Amino acid sequence: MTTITAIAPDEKAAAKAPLNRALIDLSPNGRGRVVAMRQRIRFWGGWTLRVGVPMLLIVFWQLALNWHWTSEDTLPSPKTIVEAYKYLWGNGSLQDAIPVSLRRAGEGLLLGGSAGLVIGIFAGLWKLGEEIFDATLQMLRTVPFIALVPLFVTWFGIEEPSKLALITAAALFPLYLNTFHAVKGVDQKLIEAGKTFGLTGFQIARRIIFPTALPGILTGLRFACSFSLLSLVLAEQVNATAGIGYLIINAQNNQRPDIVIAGIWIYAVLGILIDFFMRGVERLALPWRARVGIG
Amino acid sequence: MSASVDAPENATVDGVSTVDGVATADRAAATLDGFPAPAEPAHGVGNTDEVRGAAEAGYVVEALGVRRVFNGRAVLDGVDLRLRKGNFVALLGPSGTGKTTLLRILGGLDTADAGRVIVPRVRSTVFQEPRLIPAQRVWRNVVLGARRPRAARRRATDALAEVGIAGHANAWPRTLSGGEAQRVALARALVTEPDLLLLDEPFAALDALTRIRMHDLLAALCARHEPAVVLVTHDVDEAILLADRVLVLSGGAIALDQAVDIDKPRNRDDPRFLALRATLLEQLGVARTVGGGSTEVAASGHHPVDRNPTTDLH
Ligand SMILES: Nc1ncnc2c1ncn2[C@@H]1O[C@H](COP(=O)(O)OP(=O)(O)OP(=O)(O)O)[C@@H](O)[C@H]1O
Ligand SMILES: [Mg+2]
Repeated sequence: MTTITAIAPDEKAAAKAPLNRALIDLSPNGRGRVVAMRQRIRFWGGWTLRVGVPMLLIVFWQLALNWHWTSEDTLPSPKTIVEAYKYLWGNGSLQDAIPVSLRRAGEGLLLGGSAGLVIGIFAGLWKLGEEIFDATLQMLRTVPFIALVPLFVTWFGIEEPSKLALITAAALFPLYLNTFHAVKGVDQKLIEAGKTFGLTGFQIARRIIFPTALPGILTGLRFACSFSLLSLVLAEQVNATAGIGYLIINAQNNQRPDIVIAGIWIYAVLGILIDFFMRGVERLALPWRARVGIG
Repeated sequence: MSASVDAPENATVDGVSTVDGVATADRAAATLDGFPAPAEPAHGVGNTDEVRGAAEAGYVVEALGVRRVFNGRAVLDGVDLRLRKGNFVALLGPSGTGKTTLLRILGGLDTADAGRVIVPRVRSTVFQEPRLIPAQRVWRNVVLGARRPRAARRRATDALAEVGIAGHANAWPRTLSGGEAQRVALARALVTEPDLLLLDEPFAALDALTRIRMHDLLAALCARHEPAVVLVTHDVDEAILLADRVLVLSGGAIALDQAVDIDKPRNRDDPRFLALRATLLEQLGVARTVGGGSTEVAASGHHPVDRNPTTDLH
């Protein structure tokens, strides 16, 4: 009896185990299906996490105050911050500050971004361009741009020019690097195909290289956007006389943590808007790309 | 068929012996280097004696004594090939004998180290893989070589209709099946109405059924457009079915140049077909003969080379 029961499960297991290991149910309602599950996880996971986590944080924040873990003087409640926005809007400083900051970031992004794009294309397409720019830029890239603040202040003073220079430098590198790699990385076989049809260098660049490199270039643009926002925050810490940074510094001097946090939120919202915008751009500009991910 | 084409042995006597290798290499480079410069003159009105000579003799392709060395090893060593308008040659040979290298030289993607290479200005290539631009719609891919692609949209749709996939004109290449993508590549190669069509194992990745369809399609399109065609293939049946001449590349040179004197449409059961297949397989070092189906040349390392095969044939 005991011998039989000892052997039987073993036999069963031997017969079963390879089956369990080898088979997977991919039918629409099966447990192993990949796509449907992933889509569902992505959808629910995406939305619950995206909306839920910030909500939870705000609730926790309010609770922390209610339970007196911290005081209004250190961490003003979400309600107080909404009041701060009302106050800032009422005296017009919000309407003044946001365009000033956006302009700074936008100008720097435009300057640095287009320089990075042009140099990246030049270096990607021509050996000469690569030799002139790549080594130098790769070297400069290793310098954290935060370290450039004192240098730019001594060069350009503490007024607008040094802010613009910092944002420009911050936007240039990501766009350069990504453009250069995207252009260089275009499949040589496609370029050969173009050559056999007698395309000129310019036509190959326009018809084959740029469209194929666009995903990489857009990634660079996305990075350039976030970097220019980052450097905007940094630049505005130094002697700002206008802009969101000025609001924050001013509030800090006046012991108004609610306004400080309100200012930080604006930066955060700008970041989210940039991300949203870039997603839209990518969707529009790259209709040919399969949206395949690993989860 | 072979009457219109000089046998390579004759060509060697005619031209190459009188031409200094290095000097012609420079001239050959001049013929191909300007590629894809638009200012390059159309074939037949070339600026060198060699180009003029080839054009006057009625050749669209004149490759003589072509040599290509990779890492000290001469992969091509004295390849001679002359083609007239409408000639369809199949190029066979074991793997690694330099078929692709020769095609790349004729296509202007690579430059010979020595020899003369005169080719038409308008030529196109179908590679083993479709090589479509993923970021361009199918019809834009077809008119890749057009000066103004938007204006050529009509031609693109016509060409796609010719290869039987007009419905996919607006699709992205990613969404095509392998056979469809290869047909787009064929349409792209033919839409420029090339004087020389280079095909590097274009159907190797296709299933047998699609391959048969593509054979018919290619034969029909070539009959209509009459380009000179060089088809590289490992499929002996494919070569005999389509080509007017079958060349075997071996030991860096054309080891066999065999005219195919079988009336079209050709039947695989035709005794002449079978005889020719046996000859070619023997030449390629494959002893067995497979009945029916297509016979692929095994990529074996051992292949006896007969450098003077004409004595064996007929
Ligand atoms: N760019 C290159 N650099 C070095 N060696 C090369 C290069 N291109 C080709 N070769 C060599 O030349 C030889 C011929 O290559 P090729 O691609 O022309 O062969 P093939 O006849 O087309 O073979 P297959 O039938 O397998 O396609 C090979 O041995 C290959 O290693
Ligand atoms: Mg090859």
